[in-house]
Amino acid sequence: MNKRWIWTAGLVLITALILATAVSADEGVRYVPYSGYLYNSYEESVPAPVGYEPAAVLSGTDLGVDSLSSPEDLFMSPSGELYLLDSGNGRILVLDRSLKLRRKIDRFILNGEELSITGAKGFFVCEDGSILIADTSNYRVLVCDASGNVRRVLERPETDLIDEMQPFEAVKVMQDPVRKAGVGEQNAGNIYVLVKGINKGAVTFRPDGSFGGFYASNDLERTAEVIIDYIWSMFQTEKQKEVSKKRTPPEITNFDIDADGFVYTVTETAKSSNRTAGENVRKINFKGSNILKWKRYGDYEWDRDFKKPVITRFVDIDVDENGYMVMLDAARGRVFEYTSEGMMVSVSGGMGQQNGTFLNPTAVETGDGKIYVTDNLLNALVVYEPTEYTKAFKTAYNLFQNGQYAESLESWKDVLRLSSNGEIAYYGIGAALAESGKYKEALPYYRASYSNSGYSDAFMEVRADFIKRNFVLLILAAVLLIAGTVVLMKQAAKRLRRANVYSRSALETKYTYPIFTALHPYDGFDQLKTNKRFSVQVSLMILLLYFLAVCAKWFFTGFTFMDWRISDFNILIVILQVFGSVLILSVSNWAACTLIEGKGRFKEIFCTISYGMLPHVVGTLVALLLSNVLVEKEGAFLAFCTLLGLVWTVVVIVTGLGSIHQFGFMKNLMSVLLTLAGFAVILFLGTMFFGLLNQVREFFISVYSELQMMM
Amino acid sequence: MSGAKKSFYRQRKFWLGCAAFLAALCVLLLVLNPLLNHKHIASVSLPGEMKNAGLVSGRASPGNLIPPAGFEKLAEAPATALYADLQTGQFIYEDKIGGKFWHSKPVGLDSDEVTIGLWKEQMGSMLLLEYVDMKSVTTSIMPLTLASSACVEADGATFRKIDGGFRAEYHFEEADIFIPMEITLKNGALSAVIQSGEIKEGGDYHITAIHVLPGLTATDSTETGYMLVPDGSGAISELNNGKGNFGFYDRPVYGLDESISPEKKLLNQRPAIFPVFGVKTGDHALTAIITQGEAEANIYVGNVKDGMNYNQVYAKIVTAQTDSTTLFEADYFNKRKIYNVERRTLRDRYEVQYFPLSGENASYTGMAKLYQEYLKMNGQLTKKAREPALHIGFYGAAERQAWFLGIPYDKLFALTTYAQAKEILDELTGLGANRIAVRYEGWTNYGLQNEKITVAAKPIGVLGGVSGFRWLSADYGKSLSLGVDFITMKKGGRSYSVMTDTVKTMFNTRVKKYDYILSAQVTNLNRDFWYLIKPSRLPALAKTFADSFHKEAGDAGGVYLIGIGRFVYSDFDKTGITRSQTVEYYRKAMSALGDIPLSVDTGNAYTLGYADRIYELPCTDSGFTVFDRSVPFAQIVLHGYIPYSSDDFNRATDRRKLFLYCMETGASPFYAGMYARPEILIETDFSHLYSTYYKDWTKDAAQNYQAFAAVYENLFDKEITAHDRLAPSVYRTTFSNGTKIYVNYSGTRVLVDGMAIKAMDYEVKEAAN
Repeated sequence: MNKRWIWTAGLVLITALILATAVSADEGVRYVPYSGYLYNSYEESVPAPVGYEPAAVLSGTDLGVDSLSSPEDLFMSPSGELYLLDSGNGRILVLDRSLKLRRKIDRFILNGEELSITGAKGFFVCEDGSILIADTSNYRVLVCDASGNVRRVLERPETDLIDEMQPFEAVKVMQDPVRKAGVGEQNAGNIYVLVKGINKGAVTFRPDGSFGGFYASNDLERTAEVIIDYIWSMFQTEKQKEVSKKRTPPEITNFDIDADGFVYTVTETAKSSNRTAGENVRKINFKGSNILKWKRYGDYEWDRDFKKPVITRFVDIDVDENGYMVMLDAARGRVFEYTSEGMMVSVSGGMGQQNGTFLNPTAVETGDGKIYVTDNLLNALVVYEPTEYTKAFKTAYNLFQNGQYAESLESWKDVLRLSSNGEIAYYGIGAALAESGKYKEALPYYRASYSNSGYSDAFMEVRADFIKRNFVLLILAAVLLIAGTVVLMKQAAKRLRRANVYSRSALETKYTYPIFTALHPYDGFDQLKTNKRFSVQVSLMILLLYFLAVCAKWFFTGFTFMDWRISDFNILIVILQVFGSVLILSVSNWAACTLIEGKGRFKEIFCTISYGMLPHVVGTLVALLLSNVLVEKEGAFLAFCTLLGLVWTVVVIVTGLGSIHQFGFMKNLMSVLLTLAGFAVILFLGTMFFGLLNQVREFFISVYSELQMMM
Repeated sequence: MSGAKKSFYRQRKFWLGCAAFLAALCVLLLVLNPLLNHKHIASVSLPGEMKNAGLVSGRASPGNLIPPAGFEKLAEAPATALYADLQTGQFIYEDKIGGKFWHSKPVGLDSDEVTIGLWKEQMGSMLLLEYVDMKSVTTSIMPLTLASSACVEADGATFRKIDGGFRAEYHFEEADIFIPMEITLKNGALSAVIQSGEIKEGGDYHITAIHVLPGLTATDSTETGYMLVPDGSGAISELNNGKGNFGFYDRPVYGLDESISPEKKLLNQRPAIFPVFGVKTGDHALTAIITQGEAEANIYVGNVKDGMNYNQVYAKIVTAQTDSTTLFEADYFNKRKIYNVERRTLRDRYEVQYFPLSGENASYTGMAKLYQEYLKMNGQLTKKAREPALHIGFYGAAERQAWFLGIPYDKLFALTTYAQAKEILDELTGLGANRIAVRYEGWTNYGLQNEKITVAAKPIGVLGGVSGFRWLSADYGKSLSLGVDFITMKKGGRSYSVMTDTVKTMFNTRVKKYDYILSAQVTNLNRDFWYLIKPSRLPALAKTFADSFHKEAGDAGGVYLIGIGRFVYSDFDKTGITRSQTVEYYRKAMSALGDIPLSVDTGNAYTLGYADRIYELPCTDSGFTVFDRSVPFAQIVLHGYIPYSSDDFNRATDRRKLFLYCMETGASPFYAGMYARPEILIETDFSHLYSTYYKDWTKDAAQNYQAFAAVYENLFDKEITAHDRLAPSVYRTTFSNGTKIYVNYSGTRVLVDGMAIKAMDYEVKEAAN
């Protein structure tokens, strides 16, 4: 009898406990309404697993109070308590680890008088539990203790640096942690306030309440951009000017501080018209400079609708204890996670009416691997939990960062299994293999991750190894090659000599003339003109060779130096580059020289330019061969080779043209300038023409679709 | 004299009395005749033989409830009755067994102080009309108006009795629209019928949607219970859950129309696969089945929110869909967005039927059993259950760009050849998966994406040709369902051309479907687009394919119809094909395949009469914020009748939880993968097929299958009789043979029904013998 009662009591108790400890959402299979993606090295989004799945969407009632009203900010204390700023209701909720309400702070008392913080947009909980509140609608910052007793009120500082008409609309606030003596000690205890309308950085208050200047201002944009903008603005209509970016540094939107005192800022970039929307996330050191590798954070794919990169409006950032950065994009409701080095780990979230999506997200916090987001239209707290992919990634990455490369290999393989489009996993495996000395195995992985430098380093080792092992063979091969070449050349020279008994040089035959002109441009072209021995056939052969060289270069350059994607090959562009440029140059030169009475005819000009291309072609081919055996550091050789070919070609062509037109030095120079100018004009006209053609085409398409609709 | 005379008189009086009594009886009978001989009394209680399903419990207790003044009884059945007030058009549907009145207008509405303005009018309406002013339809805003029938002036609304119920006719003056609705008792169920052919639209106004009986299934903030919608596997919105302000649910039955392409990528969502919805309040429930015109209906769910004191779940007939497009898209400053509305003559009959449930049956399980009975009665559900099998999906071939001397072309390459498929299946068998059901996508034609439409079932060379296929089908032929896509095509060919055989949009342009760029959410114009074939061509196409199948691939076990179970689409050109007509064509196409065993994915209701297997029956709902959780409504309806699989394990965010769901609901584990390493797909149109490499999941698959089969060997042909949530994250499923399966999704051990269930684990309790 007793036993049964105990069992029943036990059952009831346990069920009650289960019900009590569980958040009011079930833990069954979850549906993820958003599609995850990552960016590849070509800045294109590729499908990837999501980083977080929605675990719960909690309204005020779920949290144990009546409904929330405009929750604007969150703070996760080191002890695991989650503070929520329920702005519309003027209160702060303190939730425990399982998101049950521990206490409410809804009365803020200063000298017996009750203050209201309704409309406050930001807050911060200091190490000692005291709370800083950016009381936005009342133009002040309140410094309170843990129960809501206001100890100090910070208002607009009296200083020349702040206009006294500027309302002190404090939106976010933060305190620099007190830390041990040493670096950054001078900032300890400072309170930073982001004020709407002040773009000089965060308004700083020293621990004693005095004004301490500004911290972490965004840079002014670079001078060149300012000038270009100015020039453009002279041509733009009013409407278009509105679309252009302003010329003042943007305000910081939000910030976070990590345990070491590094401040991370996010800025809603207003830079809409250029693709280099950088510095929307910064990690500031004690002096106020950004120490993050310059990089674009957020989305940066081209949005056809707005003719600019997809806009990312970061409204909050949180950095967890391992340095992972989580950022909240209010434009598309996305949560981005990056490693401390700035590598994208995952993207989750979206805008909508399904669990895990938002109407207007306002703040993000991380804690215990989970992510918490508040939304001031949904009036809810959304909880995200990490997926298998995120857990696998962090395991692998943490091992890797600690130098445990061999162990990280297995973990990276797990990551790869879950996300075969993610380049990081390939890089991780490649690096792990390389570190363990397996350079050859590492090569394909570096290739897959489009890491030229990684590939180069591994390749260097492979090459060194190859040379070591095959040293003798290589020497033998080199000797044979040189000997063979010498013999061949001698033979060729004899044959040519026999064919060409009467000329000075053996090279003055139809097919070897280009070699002759490369070596003796002035005389060569003069002779060709005089003897009328220009051959269109040979010119075309050289151009064909050039075409093949360019194609070969595209496909067969060594990976170390290949910073383009093979699949982007466009045969039309190559044809344009090879045949088009030569033709346009010829036309331009012919036109220019007609003006200044050059004696060259069109055929001669065309052939001169074509013949002159030979050194460039040879240079390209040699560079191509070299690229397959050199490493990154030796890139200078490659550049030198290509440059040599190019310069040689230019010299040959310029001299040759001068020769056939029979110009003196000055006139030749002028003709070169005129030719170049002409070339630019033709190019410009051509582009405009095609642009207009495109416009006309689009016009007809629109008319056609309208007609279709009316039918 | 007195003795003899007395007896005679008595005799005569007695006989006169008897005659008079009999005469009176006859008169009474004559008077009462119409009521006694009413058709509905003569018929069986609830629709058809539903009482066998154990839905009717308890004894009928007619007359315990008294309808309010003004309501007269128009029709009666053994278990239900219909009362109506012919002055106002409001009616009451009585559930005699459960003892409940379902009112067309919520009882406390007039005195309700919370619900304000338009919402109050709407709640008291029999129907709501959404209409547009056609004159201004193409400019920047869609000028939609929502009108309530409750607001129709007295002289614009007429109500008259008809056989079995009454007919309401509304004349909406401001839009000059006439719309009739008939409410009758049909075999005990409440039937609401709108004969759209009788709708008259005067002037420039065109109806886009009709909301049917929003008040009948509405519950107020004092009631407890939930609303059920078959979103995905099924979703529950508990009454007054506080989430009404998060949003609402308004989605088409059978999913969004594929011919309407949103300009921005939408969030992922499941279709509403069955045309059923229901509400439970206290011990009573009302289940609604859209019995006619369901392909054109949306289901709407809204919860109590600011200014609205009612939870709503009802059907919305969409008579005209809308679409938008952008003109001058390339010109940023001058581009214009325009809208259009589908124009068609309405002819169809729309019907929603409501069935009451009470007591134990007033739950989503009861609703599922009711729908199950309905399907059985209509011949759409027959016992086709098969022993548990591991469900596998293979990706055959795909196209990618290759270059020949610098000239790009599309090249077909193998992801899983026939020989490789056999190798993987051998490996799985070796690991213990003794029964496997395989769907082989991309095994023919142009692989995973049709260039030209598929008409033949021919093995392709890049995967091994005829010999390779024979090699595979020799051992595994019977397990194979060969995937075929009859719907999409990138170009014309094989006697189907783009100009004459593909569907058009409302703007008279051809429907072009694109992939979307994931970050910007715009269409990806760098990739090929595809067209959708006219639904009317499907039956002939299926017939041609069936003939080819018998000739070339006859040893395969069946055909897997790609896409047909998952979405419905319209043709918006001059003649037009409605969603309902498309569903008919789907049916004809499935019939045309004759006796070839068919598999589909997702499992929209129209496939149930033809499909022998359903892959990827949804395991969750779409997670709309107005819902509280998902329930395995679909699984309860289908278990024991049609074999079905879970979602793809390779795309799950948590595979252990998905496995537990398989145990909970009898869904066979499903893995889709390939032999080639997925890196091969980088920079192709199929890069979303990451995490498919077979070596990564075969062991997992075999293990999960073995655990699943061990339990479901004896359960696969049993119905699910109960499904309960014992605690958050703890569920119990009861089968018709008494077996119970407990599943615990939480991270802590639990104790229920005297059983201890470990965290993220399950337990099986056989019936006590």
